[in-house]
Amino acid sequence: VQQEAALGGGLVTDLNRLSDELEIAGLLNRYARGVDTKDWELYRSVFTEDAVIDYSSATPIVGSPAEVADMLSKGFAMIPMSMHYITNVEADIDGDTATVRAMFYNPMQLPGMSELSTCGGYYHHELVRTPDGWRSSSLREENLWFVNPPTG
Amino acid sequence: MEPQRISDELEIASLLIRYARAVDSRDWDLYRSVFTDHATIDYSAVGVTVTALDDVADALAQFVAGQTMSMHYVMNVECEFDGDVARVQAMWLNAVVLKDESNVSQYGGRWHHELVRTDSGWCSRKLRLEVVW
Repeated sequence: VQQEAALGGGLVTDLNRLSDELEIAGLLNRYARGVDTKDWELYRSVFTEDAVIDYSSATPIVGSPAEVADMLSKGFAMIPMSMHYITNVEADIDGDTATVRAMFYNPMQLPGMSELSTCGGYYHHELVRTPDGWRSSSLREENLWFVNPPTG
Repeated sequence: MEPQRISDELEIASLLIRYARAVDSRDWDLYRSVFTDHATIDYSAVGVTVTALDDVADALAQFVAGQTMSMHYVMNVECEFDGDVARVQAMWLNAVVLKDESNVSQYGGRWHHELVRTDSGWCSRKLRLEVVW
């Protein structure tokens, strides 16, 4: 508290903002690691239990974290490699909620395809601050491009 | 997040970016500055068998001599702290032009670092290169 008083209110606010920004970027990286290492517990830890996940721009998958993790664990079992690069993270933080937009670049090896496939787009998250840190209560994936898309 | 942690995270991201700049600009003094003197570097994923810093710097110089351009994009930096040690994983995407070729090839993977806090900032004492695609 003394340190905070010495730093002054403005700087403390700035530090909280920095901390939120880094934690939010960390959450998005954890999401990517969860998917890419097929660690579905880690994946679910990114979300609140009642979150809504909407991958409908590129897949038929929409549901709660438990439902989506179940579908992804079956779908990704056949995908030997994916890497979700996350960049251009923009967080609009309002107290204990945040609207976050980030770009993804996703090379992957799809089953039955001889060449790599790559897609990209945006993640749109609604985040809430919980006692365990920031969590997503809503994710909508907006896929904008797909090179060498799956056929059939 | 404590102010110290914020500072550590930002310094570590800068260290990884400095590493990328060193390799892409073929600046081997800058490259060495990323590591502790006795660092162990595992580039076996690209066929380099030596692991001591000076040997690796020489081997890497030879390796990239076959390229006219490389750009290592650094993303998804994740740090786990244990006192003055940090275990860091980051994703890289490398756009490369090989000598005598005009087209660009792309590769991707991860770096797995073990960093230590030194008097001159965070340095890597252990690096393992993982190539994924």
